Amino acid sequence: MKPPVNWLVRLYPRLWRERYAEEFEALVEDTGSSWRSLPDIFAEALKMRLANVDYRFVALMAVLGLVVAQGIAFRLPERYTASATLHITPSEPNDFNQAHSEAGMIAGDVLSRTSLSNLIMAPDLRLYDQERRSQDMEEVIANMKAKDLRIAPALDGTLLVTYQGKSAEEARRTVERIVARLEAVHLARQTFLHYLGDERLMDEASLNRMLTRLEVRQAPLLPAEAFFPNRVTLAALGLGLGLLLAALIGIMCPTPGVWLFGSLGLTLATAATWLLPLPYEAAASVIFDSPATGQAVTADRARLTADVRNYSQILSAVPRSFYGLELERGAVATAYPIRVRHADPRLAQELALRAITRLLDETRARRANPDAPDKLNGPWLSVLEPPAVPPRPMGDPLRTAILVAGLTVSLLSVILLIFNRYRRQPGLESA
Amino acid sequence: MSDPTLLVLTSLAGGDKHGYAMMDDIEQFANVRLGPGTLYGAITRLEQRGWISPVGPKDRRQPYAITGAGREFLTSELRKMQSLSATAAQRLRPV
Repeated sequence: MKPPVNWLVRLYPRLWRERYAEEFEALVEDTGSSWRSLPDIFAEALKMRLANVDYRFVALMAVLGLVVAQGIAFRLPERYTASATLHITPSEPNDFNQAHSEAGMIAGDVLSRTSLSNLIMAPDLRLYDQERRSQDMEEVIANMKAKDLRIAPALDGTLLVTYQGKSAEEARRTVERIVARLEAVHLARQTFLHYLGDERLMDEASLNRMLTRLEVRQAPLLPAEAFFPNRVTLAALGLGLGLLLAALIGIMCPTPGVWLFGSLGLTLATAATWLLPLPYEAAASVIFDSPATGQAVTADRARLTADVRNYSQILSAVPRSFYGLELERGAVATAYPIRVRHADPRLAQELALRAITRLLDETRARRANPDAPDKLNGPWLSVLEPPAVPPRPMGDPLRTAILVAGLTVSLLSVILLIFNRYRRQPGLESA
Repeated sequence: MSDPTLLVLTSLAGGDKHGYAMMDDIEQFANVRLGPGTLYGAITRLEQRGWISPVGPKDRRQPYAITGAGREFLTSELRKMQSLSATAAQRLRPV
């Protein structure tokens, strides 16, 4: 394969090429045109460019710095943190020992090896896919507990759950799953304790009279900022690519028409990034508390299936276009996420509210016996803060730092070139 | 001595040469093989300063000759090098 000497010669200043290119190419032919000479030819081209200020080259250097910095930044793995807060209310007021003990027990169950391996291998989550190829499950779980997952029970019965994931969606879904698991464990424990304590209070007739209840723990909030990709990133990309294209074309074919074309392309690329509609996401979650379903976990799978089907009917009453629904088959007391995406954040919020209102109406309509007594004496679980979409990736500060570093290097290059302009030798202009 | 500018001037001080002949000559007397980019970078700078000039008809293999100014510069550089060399030799002599 012939080395691309002719292409490299194009990197030299135009005036130099007009004067020396022919004899230079003859010399390269005489020397055998080897690949080993390419770095030497390239380095000299760079030196000549530095000694002769060429604003196209300056632009190329600046944009290259920007593009390389962006490239590195985008290769960095992003980390998103989702969190949720739960609270155990004791059966006796101010019995914080009971609340703290219960919080510790359910946290311990969720952090067990079996529970975490099920979470990691859940088909819709598939956490740590790459790590699992090179590490055994024990190691993956140990790393997960050490770096990414935290379930911290406080003395007053509050449980803080945080998880760092590769995407906002993964982080939130994982926390949702952990919250659901905490609820299920808690409910199963309370039901079990209840049966041990006083079987008369939970006979089948009373259970049948108990109906599902829906509680909205937190109304959807107006999203603070756009879902990824954001406009700034797109604008930077468009600017970088447009400038790079303009600079490259300008260097290869330095004619006014090409510069005009390059500038036009740059303007259009930048404008396009601002015209793209970016979705905002209004997020909320609703919880079904169903002691009957909890009982079904240990005693009656048929009842569990019926209850889940009942939930499905309620949820399907809401127009599907309004929200994205995840219904886990066989789950109990699951936090059901409702997500509405729309370019208008206020409309996204309104649609989510309408979906929840509809759910509430349907649930109330299905409540056959509103006076059904609450038979559970154990502590109740409350979700104080459902998981929300993380507003920004944790890697963002690093990405910004790299971008700033790239721009700084580019700026220094420009200063160096301008400095060289004033100290260059007389006569260089003619070359 | 590895400054390409002085190497080219020294080579041309022995007679007019084109690029490839200069590379061979420099390799023989200095044991340094200049790359084509380095050689033409030096030729460009020397011609801009008026220390060498193209000779003969315009050709793909263009010969160059050292000018009077080039000889003066080379002589001056040689004097400096001789002075430096003498000083270094004197200081390195065992006492």
